[in-house]
Amino acid sequence: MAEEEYGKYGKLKLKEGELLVRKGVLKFPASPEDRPLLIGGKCKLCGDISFPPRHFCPMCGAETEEFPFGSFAEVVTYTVVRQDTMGIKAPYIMAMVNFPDLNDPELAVITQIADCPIEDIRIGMKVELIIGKVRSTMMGAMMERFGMPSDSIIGYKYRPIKEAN
Amino acid sequence: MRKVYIIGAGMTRFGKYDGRHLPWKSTYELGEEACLMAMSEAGVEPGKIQAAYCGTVQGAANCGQTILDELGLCSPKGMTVYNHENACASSLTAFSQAWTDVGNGVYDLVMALGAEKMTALMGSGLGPVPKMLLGGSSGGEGGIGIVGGALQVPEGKMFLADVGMNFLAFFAMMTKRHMYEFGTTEEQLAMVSVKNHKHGAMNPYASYQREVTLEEVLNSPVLCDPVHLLEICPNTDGGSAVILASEDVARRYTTKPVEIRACDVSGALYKGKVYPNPS
Repeated sequence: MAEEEYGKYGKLKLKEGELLVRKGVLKFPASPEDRPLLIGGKCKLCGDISFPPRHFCPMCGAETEEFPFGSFAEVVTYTVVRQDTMGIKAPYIMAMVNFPDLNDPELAVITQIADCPIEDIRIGMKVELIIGKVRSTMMGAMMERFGMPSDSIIGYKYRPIKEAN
Repeated sequence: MRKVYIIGAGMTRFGKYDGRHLPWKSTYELGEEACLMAMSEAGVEPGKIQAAYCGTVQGAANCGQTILDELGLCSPKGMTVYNHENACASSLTAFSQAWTDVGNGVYDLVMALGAEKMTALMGSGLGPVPKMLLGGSSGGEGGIGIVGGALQVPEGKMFLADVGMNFLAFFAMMTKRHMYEFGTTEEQLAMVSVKNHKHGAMNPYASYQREVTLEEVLNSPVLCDPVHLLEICPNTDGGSAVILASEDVARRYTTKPVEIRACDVSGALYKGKVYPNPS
């Protein structure tokens, strides 16, 4: 089942019971042709990029500025989580992804991999950013057990890039 | 800084003090047991301890004060007690602060302790929240006792937990990368567990005191690929304590004090090196 994509619908409108994972880490596409982006922090002095963004550069201490990036990435390492984490049903894939276009091998973002059968995940897999539900809240997870609507956290995920037909 | 010595140490057996595996004990009881052992080994009288440093993550507020008060160690005027939380390094952080204070001449005789009751945590499978509320596999069923599931972190507390991480997943990802970079095999990793269980079988304080075979480890359920149930640390309860003293005070209690040469507390690296660098 394809994940619901928030990026497709222009500006994000959170529905009732939806929380954003953190302010200022996601850039929603302005038009259907745009892609969603992560917002990192880029040092004005040494150019170091960090995610989530920092106020000051951890490498040199200078100020940072917003740096949108990360539409496309590559899986550096992954694991298949086989026990439920609160609000997420197992099995699901967690991964560290890196951004070849930024040429910083030490910049890794930890993310869920969506829309990917667990036997298909590979180191080196090319993935793309989507915005959607990453988990239910703790209370929501409990309510789900009784068939009640749950609160969700909206955040970033990556999914395998489908081969062009 | 002047020299600081350890003159006594105590530690409970580690294990699940949940009333099913081991007799039920609270965080405080575990802490008290360790303190008494340390004091008895050092031969320190109750009134002589000037300050205490307690490390705990899930102990309630004022954990250190409660432990010392229940022992009757707090002086009539009140005792200086510091509580430290630094995740897995909480008690060592408490120890480090105790060492620094004695070294700098603030106190001459102090106690550093730690107490934790992991089985009372949500998601440990035995905690206060019924398992059915947490979802299917959270409790974790193991071949040896019950092994905890992923620690459950409510939203808004940890950014990475909000995007779906749990602690084991992080180490599993590092392991996966290590296997990719260096060709490390699951058998090699399982051998670490076999070796550690062998040592545990000889240690009366160990949580698991039996040996396991390579096959048992490899056939145990995979929790986060490639990490098996018998390769992870279990959710375990326990307490520990040491008595620290300055040189002249230490000489009064023992002829063989253990000198502390160094202790360091550091945060994680900012970037990289969490997995072997792809080169």
